[in-house]
Amino acid sequence: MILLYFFILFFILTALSFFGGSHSKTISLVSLVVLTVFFITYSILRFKNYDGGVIAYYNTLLAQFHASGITINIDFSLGLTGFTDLLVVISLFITMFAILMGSKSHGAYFYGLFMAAGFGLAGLFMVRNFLFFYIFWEVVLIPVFFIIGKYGTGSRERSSLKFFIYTHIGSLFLLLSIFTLSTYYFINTGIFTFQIQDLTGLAFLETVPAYGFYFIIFGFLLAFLIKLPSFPLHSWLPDAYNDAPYSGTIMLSGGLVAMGGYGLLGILYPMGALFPRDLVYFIILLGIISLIYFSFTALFQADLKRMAAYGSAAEMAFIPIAFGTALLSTGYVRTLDLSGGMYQIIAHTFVAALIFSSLSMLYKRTQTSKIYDLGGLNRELPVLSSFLLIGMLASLGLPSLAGFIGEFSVTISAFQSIGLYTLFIVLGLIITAAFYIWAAQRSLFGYFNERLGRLKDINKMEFLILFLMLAGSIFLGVYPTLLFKLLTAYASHLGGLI
Amino acid sequence: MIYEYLYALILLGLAGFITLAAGIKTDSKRILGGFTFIILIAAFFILLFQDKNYSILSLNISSFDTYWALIFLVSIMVIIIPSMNDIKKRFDVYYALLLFIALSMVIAAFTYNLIILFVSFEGVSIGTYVLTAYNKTKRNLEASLKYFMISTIGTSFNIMGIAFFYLSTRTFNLNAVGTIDFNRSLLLALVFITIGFGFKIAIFPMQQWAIDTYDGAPNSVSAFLSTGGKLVAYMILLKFLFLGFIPDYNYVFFFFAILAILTMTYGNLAALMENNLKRILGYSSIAQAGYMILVFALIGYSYYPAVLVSKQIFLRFAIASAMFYAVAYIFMKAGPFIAMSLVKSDKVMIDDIAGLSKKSRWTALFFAIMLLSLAGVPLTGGFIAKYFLFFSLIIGDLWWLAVIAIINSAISIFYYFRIIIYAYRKEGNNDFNMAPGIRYSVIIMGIITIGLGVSFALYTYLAGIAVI
Repeated sequence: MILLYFFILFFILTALSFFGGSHSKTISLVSLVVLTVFFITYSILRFKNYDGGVIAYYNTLLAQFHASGITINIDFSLGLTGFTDLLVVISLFITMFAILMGSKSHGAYFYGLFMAAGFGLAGLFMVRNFLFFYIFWEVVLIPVFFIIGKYGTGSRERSSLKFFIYTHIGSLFLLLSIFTLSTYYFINTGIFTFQIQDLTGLAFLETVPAYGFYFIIFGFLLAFLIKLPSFPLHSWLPDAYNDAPYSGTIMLSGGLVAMGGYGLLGILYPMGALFPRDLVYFIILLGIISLIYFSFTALFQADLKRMAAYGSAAEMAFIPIAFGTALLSTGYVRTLDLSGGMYQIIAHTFVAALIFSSLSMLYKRTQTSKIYDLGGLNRELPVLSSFLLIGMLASLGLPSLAGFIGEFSVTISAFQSIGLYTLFIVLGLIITAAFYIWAAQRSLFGYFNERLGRLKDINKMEFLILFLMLAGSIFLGVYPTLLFKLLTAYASHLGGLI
Repeated sequence: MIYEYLYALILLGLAGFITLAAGIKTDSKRILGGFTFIILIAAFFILLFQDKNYSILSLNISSFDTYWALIFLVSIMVIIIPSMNDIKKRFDVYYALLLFIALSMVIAAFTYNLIILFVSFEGVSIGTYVLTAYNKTKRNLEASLKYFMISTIGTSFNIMGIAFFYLSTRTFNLNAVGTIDFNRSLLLALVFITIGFGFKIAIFPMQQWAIDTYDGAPNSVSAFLSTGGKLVAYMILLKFLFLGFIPDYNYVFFFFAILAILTMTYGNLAALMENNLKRILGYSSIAQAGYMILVFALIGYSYYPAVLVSKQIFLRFAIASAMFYAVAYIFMKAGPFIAMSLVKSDKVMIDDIAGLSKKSRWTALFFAIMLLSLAGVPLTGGFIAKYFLFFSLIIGDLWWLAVIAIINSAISIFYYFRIIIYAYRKEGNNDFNMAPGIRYSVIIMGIITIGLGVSFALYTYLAGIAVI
């Protein structure tokens, strides 16, 4: 019930932020802080003795049709797992970071749109019903579409349209899959329902004929891999990331990407036991190709923002790898694999926020993000450069920073199931390290480009913002146990389902 | 004979004549429009609260028929206030015509007799010929003439169709049609009737008049033509196909599956290359007609998986989704057409709408919401409508049709979002006609579109009453 109150409160505060006028930024930030404190307190209390599964379950019947042995149930249900609990927390954080980076000149709409996107994300992670899952899946897109299209730079209108259409096609197939799933459930039981735990139950899925099942997983995979994004479906990514305002890029890379990860690990994984083996290998292959391809592309980018976009995508390539290899392995290797993948999503939020926020501050000072225009920045901007450097190091997986935990867990557990092919993952990691270090060397070190003139280092406020993100990354890097407790409990529960 | 079931009809007819008579004394749009609006609301509530399940003369008053009558009244109600801006003079005849059209539509909703259906349908058509030409500008007259010519052809097809239908069934009463064996004249009846009413619905090969007429007519009349005028033909066809042809008549399925695919694909592709905003909306209404006639294909489909649902339930879902689509369609389609009155010029190009959000935030927002609804984005009426349409397609095992419809729906995003992008552009210094009547109409219709988007219970209610 308290979860419902949280949901309604979030909705009201989102609506409020549209009417905030010139105080909108403050209002949104205060409401987010209130929501975060509320939610974290609540989850600490509820998740004290968590042992997997869905807790804090709330369900209400919105509409029902009943005639001659047919029942259609349309429910609204909320619930949390160890994984989604953390995802809700990061969607609150990422919205906060995005709003913090918004400049004063933007109107109330700007912050309202971010609140709406954050609300959509949190709603997506909380609902336990496929109908509302789909609704929130789409609801997140609309504000982001407007953020890119209205406040972006460059060919922003084209990019926003491209972003929307790519994800919308995925979502439409997702919708078809959901229908198919519920139709098959209906054949079995005589009830139309969209409840996630009913429809992803293994006992039910085994009765679905193979061609129907392939159709279902095709729709799900398409939607989730577009969102992630994975290799052949990624071409919206560089444009959207590049043309969005920096706040929008933070939202995209930290928040929206988590949707795809949640889809794969939280929604699709329970069905995974019935996947054909070849498909599982194919997914792993896609993950590895994405990792290597994105890292290579990042290597040759001339623009720091674009490079960071590909870097962020490369980091998310670990999710399909974790998904696939976890399906191949058993026991606690699987648990480690899954929780590593989940951890990667959560860690990535902070890392991406750190990188893109630093880049935003850098852009504000230099008016360029082209690597060849920069150089030797650590002479003029020592503090900002260090933050950017730490962000890059975190992203490439330096131990004691956030990125390491997830990547390490996934890589070592992948070794158990795909053996020496893990070398390709390592290769990807090496290239990742290469492009980050190379970019840092060219832009942060070396000779200072005198044409940039005198630059002023970050002020206290900006320092505080970056420090918040940095603290998150370091905390996640040195004390993963806190989150791992929840994630492993949930992951072993998932493993038990299969 | 108990006349209390006809109160709404009598009220509408009398009010039409009163409006005409009042025209001698006054040409005030507020008085005449207000009177018409009140009468329509009164008729709405009489129909809403009167007993259902009653037959009188050739009229059959059931929940299903009442629902259609109600939404027809709504489709007229939404244009009453906006037309105060679009129409220049002689409001008495204008509003009287609207009331007579409303009367015809309600009769069409209640009757199952083909002759009366035909006559009431002509009543709607003749009224709209006049409305289309009402301002007597060159564009109006051209649009009206085109519309008149084409509709006349459609009418003759209708008569032929009804005649052929009589030939094979020996009755004009759709309720009395029993099981019919296949014969050639029935097939001819199907083809002729489809063409006749298809002109009004603007199904693919019979669509081109619609684009020109919607473009040339006054905005609120275009809004009515593309919603009410279309839906009345749609409902007649629904009744006719459902009752006149036995539901397992496979020709209906093949015929309409092909027509639906062609119609939506044509509408969506043609809209992509268009720069005239009213024409884009016209093409989009053709595409929407394509989605809507998928329901006819479903009705005729006989290879449905019997293991899944009984034919009766399956049809019920299909018809309920048609009914939901109709009500959502009224608001999401009439709204953008009415919003075209915001632009001062007669011919509305897409860059005329640029900068709307700067001038009026809320109007732009709700305008955008209605376009999103047409595109089928969640939390809008159009989403729920499409959702349940695809849902019934999938229950009926018509995956491929659902996939085609979905691909079309994805294509349509391009042009709907293009309009939204233009409306939200910072550049552009267009001067807008910010008459409160239009602005508030757009906003209210946008709000109703959102309201329909969260009313899941409406569909289950409709599934309960969707028994013809």
